[in-house]
Amino acid sequence: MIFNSIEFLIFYPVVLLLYFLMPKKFRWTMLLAASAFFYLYWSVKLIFLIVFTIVISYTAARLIEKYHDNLLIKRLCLIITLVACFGVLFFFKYFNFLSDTVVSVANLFGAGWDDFSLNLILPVGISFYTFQTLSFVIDVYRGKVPAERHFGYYALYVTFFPQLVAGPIERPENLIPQLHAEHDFSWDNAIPGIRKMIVGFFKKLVVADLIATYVNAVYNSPDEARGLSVVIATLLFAVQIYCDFSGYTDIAIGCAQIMGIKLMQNFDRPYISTSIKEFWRRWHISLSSWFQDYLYFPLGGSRCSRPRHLFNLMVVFLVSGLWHGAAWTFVIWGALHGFYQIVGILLKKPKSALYAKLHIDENAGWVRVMRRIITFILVDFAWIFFRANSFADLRTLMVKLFTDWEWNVTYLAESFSVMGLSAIGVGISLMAIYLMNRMDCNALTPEPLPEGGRRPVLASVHYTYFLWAIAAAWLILLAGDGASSFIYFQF
Amino acid sequence: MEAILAHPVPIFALMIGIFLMHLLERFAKKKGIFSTVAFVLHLVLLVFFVIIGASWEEILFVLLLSAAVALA
Repeated sequence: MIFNSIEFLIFYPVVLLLYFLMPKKFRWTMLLAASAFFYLYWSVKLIFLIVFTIVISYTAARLIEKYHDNLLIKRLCLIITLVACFGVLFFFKYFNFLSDTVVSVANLFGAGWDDFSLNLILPVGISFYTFQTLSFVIDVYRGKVPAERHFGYYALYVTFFPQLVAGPIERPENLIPQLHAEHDFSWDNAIPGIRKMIVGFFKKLVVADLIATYVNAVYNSPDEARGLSVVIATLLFAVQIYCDFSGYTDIAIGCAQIMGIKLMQNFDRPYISTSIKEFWRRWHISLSSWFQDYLYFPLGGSRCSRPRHLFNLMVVFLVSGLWHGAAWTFVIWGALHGFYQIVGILLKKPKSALYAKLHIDENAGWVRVMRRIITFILVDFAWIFFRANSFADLRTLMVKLFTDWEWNVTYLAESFSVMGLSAIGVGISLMAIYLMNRMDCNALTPEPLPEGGRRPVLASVHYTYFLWAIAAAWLILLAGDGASSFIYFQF
Repeated sequence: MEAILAHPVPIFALMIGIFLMHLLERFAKKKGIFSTVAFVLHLVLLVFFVIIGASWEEILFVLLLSAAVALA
């Protein structure tokens, strides 16, 4: 079930009603059943994989806690869990990628091998729930959190429906105690929650899905695109992917908040970053912090020799690229971000020396603006690798980007018509992006609630407009190809 | 854009009116009156679009424009 479907609009109010009507003691059963139903909506078979992951990780965590003074058993349990969970992830997500690569390389040397890829379905949200279960087992191994004794609550921690398929990848110390706590209905939770959901739906339906039609026109037929269309589509894709993913997160956070559960923040206006390092502190925060805690630090982080530090960074970004998708384009995307970071570290001292020599204050306003623009260009350039459908398409897009330029009115008109961009399309896109940006600023610095009172959910006029705009966008999308799934569901 | 271009005067007048109300709302002491008038004008504009048979894109455009003006 996806958030932007009619089914969810029926499912969520029913769940909410039952949740608050049920005795607090049994609410977890209702939430677990609702989460299972939410997931089963995609495929009945895939639930077995998630159950397998839950059983393995729960048993391992209990054993690790029980034999906390026996290092051998502890390590064995951890290794078994890692092998089992990563094994499932690898088989379903990366087997065909690896087999294709092996066959291609072998055939390059004249081996004449046949393709041995399997007809596998990628289980929705597998990368997310695998990482969430592993963070639990590793934290128990490290003694950071106690092993959850109640199997039902642990299963709910893994499958909690708002964040099950696309995060945020929650940590056990944040989510499990909240699932145990008893929550009463409160307008102080419900109003910000509903508003957050409205913002999320606006980002997804009005911004991301409408922009997607122009982006798809270029990226699905790169041969017909012009250089300018590639630039515009890539700029729009930066907005689309942000609105698609942060929109999902906003809806997830809002859904949980109404029930009294606070999920972690996953985005913090990433495109205002002044460096790539800062970008990764603001983009998909739950995944970045996961890689930091469970991969970067264990590798040695930055507290080692300079070459080792740079190597660690590159490993993290290569794995991050691979996490996003089983394709070489994603690996290159990750490597490019790793390369940016390495260059940033290597140039830090010479850059500071240059600033000092030129008597320029590194924190001056115009310097920060320039750094933001450069960071955005670098991030946006990397998105081309992320979005390209194949290597062949990537090559075509790069050729168009760097060579296909003309300076006349016909070229300009052609570039826009290839994308299907009309005057009204440009107007809608620009205004939607402006409003999304305003909402993001507003969401991060919310107005305080009046003393002892409550503000109606639609007291601010713009929330009413947002609702109408969402409805209108939904109707437009339904008239076309229909509301699309979230991009991050494929990961 | 056909519907918008076919009725430029009333649409333009309504938009100017909305903008003025929001401007007055910002400076006036009794903000509620201007805010309410602006909201009613927004509604009139929306209904007008529906009456003249505007497409969903055009209606979305006017809604976004209304929200942008309200937030400006």
